[in-house]
Amino acid sequence: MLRVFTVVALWMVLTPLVAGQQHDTSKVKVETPVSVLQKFKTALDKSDYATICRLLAEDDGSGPLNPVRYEQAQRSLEGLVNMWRGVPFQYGEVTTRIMENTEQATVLVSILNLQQSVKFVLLKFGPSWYIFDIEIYFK
Amino acid sequence: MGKGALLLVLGASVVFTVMNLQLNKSAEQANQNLVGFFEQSVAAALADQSAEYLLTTLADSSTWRVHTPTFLNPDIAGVSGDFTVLYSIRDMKKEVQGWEKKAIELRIEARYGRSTDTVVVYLSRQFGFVPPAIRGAITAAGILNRTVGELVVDGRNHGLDGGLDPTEPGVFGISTAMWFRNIGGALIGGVDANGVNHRPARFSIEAVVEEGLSQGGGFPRTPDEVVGMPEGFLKTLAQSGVEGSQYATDPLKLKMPLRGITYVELPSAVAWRGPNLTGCAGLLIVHNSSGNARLENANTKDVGFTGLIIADYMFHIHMDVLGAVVLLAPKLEVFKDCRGNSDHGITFSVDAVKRATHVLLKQGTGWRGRVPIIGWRN
Repeated sequence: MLRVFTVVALWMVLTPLVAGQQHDTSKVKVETPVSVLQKFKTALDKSDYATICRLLAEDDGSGPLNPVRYEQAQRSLEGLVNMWRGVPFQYGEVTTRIMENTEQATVLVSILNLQQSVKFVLLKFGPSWYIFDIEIYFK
Repeated sequence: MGKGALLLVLGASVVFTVMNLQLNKSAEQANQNLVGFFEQSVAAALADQSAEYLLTTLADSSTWRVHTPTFLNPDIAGVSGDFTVLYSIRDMKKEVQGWEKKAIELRIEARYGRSTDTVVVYLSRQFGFVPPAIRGAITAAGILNRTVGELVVDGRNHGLDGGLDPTEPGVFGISTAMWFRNIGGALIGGVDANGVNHRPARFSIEAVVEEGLSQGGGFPRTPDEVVGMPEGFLKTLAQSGVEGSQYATDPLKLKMPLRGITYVELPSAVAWRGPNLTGCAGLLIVHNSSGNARLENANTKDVGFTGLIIADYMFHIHMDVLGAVVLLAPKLEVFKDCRGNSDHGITFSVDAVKRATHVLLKQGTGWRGRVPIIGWRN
């Protein structure tokens, strides 16, 4: 009888704690396409190419960028980093869709200082989003 | 007998006198003819020699004009004596094989003694050339389906002002060594195989799309092959800085606006992203020995690029090009999409391509092969 009482008491005490932890989203950071772009922008402002490269997808959309191609990617991004460093981004509309079993998000960003509108296309691999394509429009 | 002899002597004397007079007259005539022939020959030689000199000067400076007949400096002509050479260089239009072409008229009038010789040379106003490898407004080794996106591609000939110019034939809208499907909904126009112009359209564009183009010995693999020059010629010329030309492995070091030949040699698979090519002109090359240099997100605003672009790969074309584009890589974009570039276009222009290639012909001496002569009249 004492054993049953102990189990019930423990269940009553522990269940809310576990449930509380499971639903406490304030402590778990959920990655969104915009948050990835914010990380990208922060890294860009610091010319932190290592971080930038970790946020990129392969050109064929097959997965996150293979580290062997980080140097190539860095060289390809130097122009953009040079152009966008220190310039504020305004994040706009986000759309998502499934393309060939891969979740894809499009985020529109306005760069008013440069009169540019930029479309970022991100792909989701596992829990994370990666930048697949960048398209710049001069307004 | 004495009377007969006298008559004989008198007769002979008359005959001799008449013959002598005739001979003198003939000799004088011959002398005059000889002098006339000599003067005419000198005048003709003077005119030809002056033409050679003036054409060489024009080859170096195609914008040189002399509207009023002007005396040519005798020292420059390289001869001396009792002569004058008058010349003028002016823009005009000349009909060539049924086409009225914009031309330059070089008129030379050489006088020596009483003889005059006139030489008139007609030259095309654009000194460059359109390489035969350019078969379309966009000519590509690979599949352009995703590259063109929603662009307006027009192979009809346009003048430097952007208006249609029927004085020169156009090209296909798209010419590819592979195949083309208009999945992006581009507007494509041009000239079909029968020389008929078609305005840009989204559908029924087969006539202005050339597929499976073999280009004779194979699609050009390098920019030098596109323009028909020996390997390394363009890079050397770009490095020389002629007419503002530049060579760079780091495109951030380029000075804008681009002029002359701009040769960007990128490391393997590296992209030059987001350049603002507004108002740039000339021959732009983005290439490396691996054939995978990339020009991405090139933009123009209000004023486009005028001239010829030769790149291994291009994507996200958000720019206007007046001239032509050649893409060398057999593998162009196949994964990404390009949308929202319907406000830009690739518009074929003979004049723009010639203006871009004229710098290639400047490298040499004399005028032969460097000035586009379309007529010569003595």
